[in-house]
Amino acid sequence: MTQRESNQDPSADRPVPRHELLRDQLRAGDPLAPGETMSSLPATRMRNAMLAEVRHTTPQRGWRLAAVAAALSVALGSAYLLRLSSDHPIPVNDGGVVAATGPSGSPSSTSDRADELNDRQIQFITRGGTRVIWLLKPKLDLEP
Amino acid sequence: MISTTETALLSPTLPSPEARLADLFDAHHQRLYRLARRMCGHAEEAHDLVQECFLRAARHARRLPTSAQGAEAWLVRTLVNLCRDGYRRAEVRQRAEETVLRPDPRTTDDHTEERLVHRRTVRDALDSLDPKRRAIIVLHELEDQPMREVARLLGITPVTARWHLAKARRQLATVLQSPTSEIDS
Repeated sequence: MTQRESNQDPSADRPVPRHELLRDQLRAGDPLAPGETMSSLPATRMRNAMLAEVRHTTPQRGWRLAAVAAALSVALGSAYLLRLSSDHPIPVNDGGVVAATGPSGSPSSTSDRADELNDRQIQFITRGGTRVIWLLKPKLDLEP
Repeated sequence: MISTTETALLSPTLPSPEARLADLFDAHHQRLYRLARRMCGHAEEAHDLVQECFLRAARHARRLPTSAQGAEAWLVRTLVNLCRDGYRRAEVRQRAEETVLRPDPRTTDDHTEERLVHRRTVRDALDSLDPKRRAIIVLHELEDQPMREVARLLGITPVTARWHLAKARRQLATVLQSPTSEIDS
């Protein structure tokens, strides 16, 4: 090896990788001009628009959350009240029986109502919980 | 007198959405503009893309990642998705092409014209890429971001990012009709 050959840069003969050639080509035709930036006026406008949007959006979101929370509370409250009412059912007005035993019924006539008021009853409950009511009618005639 | 520690304790732990977005805008708008400019090729469209990106950030301010890096990646991904969604305005594009790519004959020499033609060729080649691959090429080849950082910004694994890079290079080489058309990954 001569002195001249040894002084040469060893990387001079190295082939340039193809992806580096492509990179150079891309940089030469870079769509962004050197030193190009977004100027301050559009940047300020953009910033203000963004801040206005966030101010506009944030309360809406708060209201939405509040509305959802209120709806949930109402639903849960209603469910709780319904459950309470099912544990203590409201008495159903059984017209037939009550009318026959007390003044709150719906008598068909005044004389019938007077008779019913004179009726005597015997009530008892079986072990199974069935309530038995005997009505003792003084005018009952069992003879044929 | 209130000490520094007491001041830190008295100050709110989390900044308001407005303050946080303002900080994000100040930190990233120029960088996003450069990315958008290279992704779409037109200044006006790049402005629109950046503005839409920050407006989306404002609409989803409470869902933005809390870390600075996470928020930056969210913005970059949103920008790339906006490009993918075909966020383009034909008239803006047309106008920009007329002003940018039609040089003034009084001031144009051969060198300028050659440079403009080359820019047009590169822009067309970039346009031919899928937005994600275009973003990888722009971030890695033009902005010198390492591939690990590119993958983090786009929310993909480094292996996937390298695979897309290799595909994009091959596609670009084909479009540019250069000696690099036989690039291997």
